[in-house]
Amino acid sequence: MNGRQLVTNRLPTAVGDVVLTRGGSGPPLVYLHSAQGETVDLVAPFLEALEGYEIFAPMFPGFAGSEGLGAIEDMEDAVYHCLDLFNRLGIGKDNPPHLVGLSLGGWMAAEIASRYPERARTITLVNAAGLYLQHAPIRELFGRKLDELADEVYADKSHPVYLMAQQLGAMSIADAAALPFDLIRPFFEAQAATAKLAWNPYLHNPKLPRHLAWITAPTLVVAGSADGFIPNAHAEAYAAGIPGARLEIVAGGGHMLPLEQPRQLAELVSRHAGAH
Amino acid sequence: MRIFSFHLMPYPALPADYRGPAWITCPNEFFDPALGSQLYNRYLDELLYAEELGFDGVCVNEHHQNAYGLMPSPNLMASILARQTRRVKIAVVGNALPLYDPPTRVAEEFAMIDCISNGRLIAGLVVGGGPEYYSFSLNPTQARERFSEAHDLIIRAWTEPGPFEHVGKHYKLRYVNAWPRPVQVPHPEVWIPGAGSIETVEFVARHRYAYMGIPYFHLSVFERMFSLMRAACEKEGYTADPLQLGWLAPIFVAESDAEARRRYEEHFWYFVKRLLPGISTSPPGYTSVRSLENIMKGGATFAEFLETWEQVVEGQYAIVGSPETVRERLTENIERLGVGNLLGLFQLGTLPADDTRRNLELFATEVMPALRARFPGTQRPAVGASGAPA
Repeated sequence: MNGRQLVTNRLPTAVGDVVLTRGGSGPPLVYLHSAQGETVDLVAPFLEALEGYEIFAPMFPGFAGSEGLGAIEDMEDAVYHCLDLFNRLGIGKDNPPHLVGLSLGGWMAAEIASRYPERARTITLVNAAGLYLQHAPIRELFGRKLDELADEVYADKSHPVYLMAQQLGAMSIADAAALPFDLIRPFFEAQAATAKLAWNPYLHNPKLPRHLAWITAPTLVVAGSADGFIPNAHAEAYAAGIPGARLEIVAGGGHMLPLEQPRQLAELVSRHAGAH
Repeated sequence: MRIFSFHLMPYPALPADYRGPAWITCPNEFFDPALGSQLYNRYLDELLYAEELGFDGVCVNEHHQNAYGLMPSPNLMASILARQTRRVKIAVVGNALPLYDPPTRVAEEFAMIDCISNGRLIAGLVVGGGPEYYSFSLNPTQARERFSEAHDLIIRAWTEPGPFEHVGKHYKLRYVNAWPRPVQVPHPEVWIPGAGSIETVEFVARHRYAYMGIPYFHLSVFERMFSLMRAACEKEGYTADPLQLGWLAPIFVAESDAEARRRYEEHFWYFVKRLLPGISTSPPGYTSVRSLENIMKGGATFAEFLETWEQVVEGQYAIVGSPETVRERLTENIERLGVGNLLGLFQLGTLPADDTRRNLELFATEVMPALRARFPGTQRPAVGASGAPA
């Protein structure tokens, strides 16, 4: 990032204005967030540790005030939205970005790179959703109590987001109803946006396994060994399905790896992207 | 005022040590088919008895994969009632339209019931409860769209000559040609149940349908709901008829107030503490954020969170007492809410058959006549297919 500040603005796209954080200079690198809709304040330590890249971190429609969810029905529409966004940022076909995606964002990166292989310079899939494994199911995202879900997605039980989820989860219904609605609104909005893409089939695309062979971008698959939400078997399946993919397991890492171990992950991504 | 007997057909035998939800994941090994056989027949008898006692109608509803109400198909129950009753309205409140694919199935089955009953069906159309979107793995972000498209299609299937083609966002049907057609012209009276979602209220007002307030909240929540509905009707350029509003309440009558509470209270607590948990599950995108905020305001008053009988009485969660007490409370509340349909739940939770029958009898003889005298009028002005007065 060369020590430059991250700046957050709104950017018009075909579906509506989206919130975009950008900064730094160098080859373009796009971070695609997870179903949690982690905003820049949470992911900044990771993004700032990526030296020598121009960073783009868009919020997907429906998350954190990004518009346009009404025009997106499924993952196919999501891919077109990403391509539109990349074109507008000058990181289209002639200058394709490195793609880094967490969970839902990892799935999106795999969809982009399998459908439009020339649109990604490299991809890094971090605890990526997108596959169905009968014997290693992804845990339930919807209808969960905040504190129980946080137990699965955070290995670091001292992380501020984890602690806040525990506090909210312990509240009585009356106390929760008395909270300022704006405090909980982002959670509802993130869940609704994710449900639109991933309710059924649940967080996967049944066709994706046979599409992975189309990926030509050099691929790094990363999983936290302590991810309590998506079993490491998913990372293994991605690594086995994508030609030439490399698998890295981060010891002790949870599902929210960019938030929990930002420096370690940034180092893995830099090394992978820097080699291509 | 029209007076209905509403049955949920609950499962009264969850294991004493089970404390999980009654919905979605409540283990079906708890269901005893031998008991189920008795229950269905007993509950149907209780609805048939309501006709004998002079009620205006009976109500059944649709829920899936739960112990709260054993009617995944209310149309099966309604078709039995259509055949075994002669006079009462049969209100199916309702069919959860997005769960029928294609939804022309609803047009067909409702028309069958309307034919068998010779025009006594009230057609309830509903989005489906939050838990149903888990039980059917149906995308809750499409709930309102599917409901709206299915509604338009069903009304068209009943009122326009077929065959015609329907090409919508969620349903593409080359040949829509509903056989049979309903007896009632242009179509059966439509009721829409709701829990305060603004979208639903606006929809009901626009179509001049009747809005049934979903129960188990503090009376003040109903007041807010019905004033929203009245305001929405005014916005559409007309004043809501009381018969466009329905209030559903558990009712229990016994010889004295003390006797009523003594016989009723444990069954009420089984209902709120064992059968309600899980019902208010709201899957992501099922209601707009705008509505969610509104619903959350009432959420803390949901009956599941009641702790004392005094709270039950204060919030009018159930109308329980001597005939005199029940008469007074109902009269007061009907006036306060301005409703023209009273939907009574005379069986609740584990309430046994003999108490249920006695309750129905006392209500019919000691309470109903006073309500009829106080609130005359059981007919709305005829309403055309377009929603405009005919």
